[in-house]
Amino acid sequence: MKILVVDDEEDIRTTTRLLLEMHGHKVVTSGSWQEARDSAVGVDVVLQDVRMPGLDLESQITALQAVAGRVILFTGEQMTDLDAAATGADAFVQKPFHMDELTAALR
Amino acid sequence: MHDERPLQEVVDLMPDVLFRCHREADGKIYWSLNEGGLAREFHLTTQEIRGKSLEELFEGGASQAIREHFEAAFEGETAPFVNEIEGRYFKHFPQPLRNDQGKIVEVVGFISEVTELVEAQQKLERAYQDLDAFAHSVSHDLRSPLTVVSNLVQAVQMAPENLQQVTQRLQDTVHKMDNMIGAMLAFSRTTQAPMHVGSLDVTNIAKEMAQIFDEQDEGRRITWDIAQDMQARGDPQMVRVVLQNLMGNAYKYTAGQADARVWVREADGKIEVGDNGIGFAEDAATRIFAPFQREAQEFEGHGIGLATVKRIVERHGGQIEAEGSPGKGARFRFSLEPA
Repeated sequence: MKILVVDDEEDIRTTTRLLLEMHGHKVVTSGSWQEARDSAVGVDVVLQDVRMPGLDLESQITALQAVAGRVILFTGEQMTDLDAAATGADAFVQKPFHMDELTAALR
Repeated sequence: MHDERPLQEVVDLMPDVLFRCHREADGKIYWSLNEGGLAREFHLTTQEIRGKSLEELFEGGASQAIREHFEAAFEGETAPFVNEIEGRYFKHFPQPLRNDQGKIVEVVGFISEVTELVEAQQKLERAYQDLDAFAHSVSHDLRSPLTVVSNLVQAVQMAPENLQQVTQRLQDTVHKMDNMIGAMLAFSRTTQAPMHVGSLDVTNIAKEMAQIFDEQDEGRRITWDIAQDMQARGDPQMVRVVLQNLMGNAYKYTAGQADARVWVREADGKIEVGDNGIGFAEDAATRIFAPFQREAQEFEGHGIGLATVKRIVERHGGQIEAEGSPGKGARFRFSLEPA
């Protein structure tokens, strides 16, 4: 699966990438929303941090969904299924995450 | 013995205001009684306002707000309302007075000053908002390094041969997290520690700070331009923290400049700390004061210094503002009580 990881923290990008690659995924990363918009074209899943500066979250998600397969929110905040659904995202994974949860969300 | 003093004398002794008003044929509201301590203080006693309507007594926005409340009172509204005059707050308790037909002919009531109460309430609300934002940031920002640790641990579990490689990274991340917790505790202490306000030699504090930074890295060339004779009032420990953070940021963000320059001077009655460093995005001027907000990810930092600075300045009753643009340096101006 081709996955785009969008997070403004470099450490999170590199270690999440490492983990996903170890599980056989192809990974690209973006440190900003502007960059993500271009990198998202044709990827299967976008794993996106909820606090990316730029457009509001809902618009970012809509724009990413237009060019990528699915958008999974990647969040350090307390979030319920309802909160996630309200943003329009396809799923969400809470940080820190266990690979099993992420794998489940990727399916 | 019961003392038969006139009611007027009793009312005069009250710090509050006792009022009685009616509408005249022109539709405007006039007072037939307005007495008590506050009425005297504002020169609005019955004698002084005789023949003047509400519009003539209060100007601009104040008139509009008060008129709406009084008009509602003439419709039977008895809910108390608060109005603000020159930063002070007054609570009105209106009651309609009806004639035999049940028509409201007058509004009577009293007015109390509630400034202290309103201020305490505002302070509490601010504290509550801060706390909320803080809890939000803490949960979010502590999870970041935790995520890195968790990712690395899972990577090692999958491929134990990587252990050697990730150990240092794990340690760095734990260290970062520990720094963050330390900064958070310091931040919370700046809100709670009692203040000891006295005269301050701001010039001296700034010079001491510059020296400390110079000693940190003797290889760095930086010009400290510190104005003479800057005096103010404040808590010396706390103002030191303010300058340490602002000058420290300036020091850090000018690291790449060939002719790095940091100045501390007075401008428009405020103290300005400026530099010719990397600056920040124009739209970040407010954002950068929020806890854990980091504009310069490539530099070390925990993102709580400016939040601490803002909190200290506000505890001193002052204000702080930032100005900057990418590549063109940053300027921070804060106010303190004059010496």
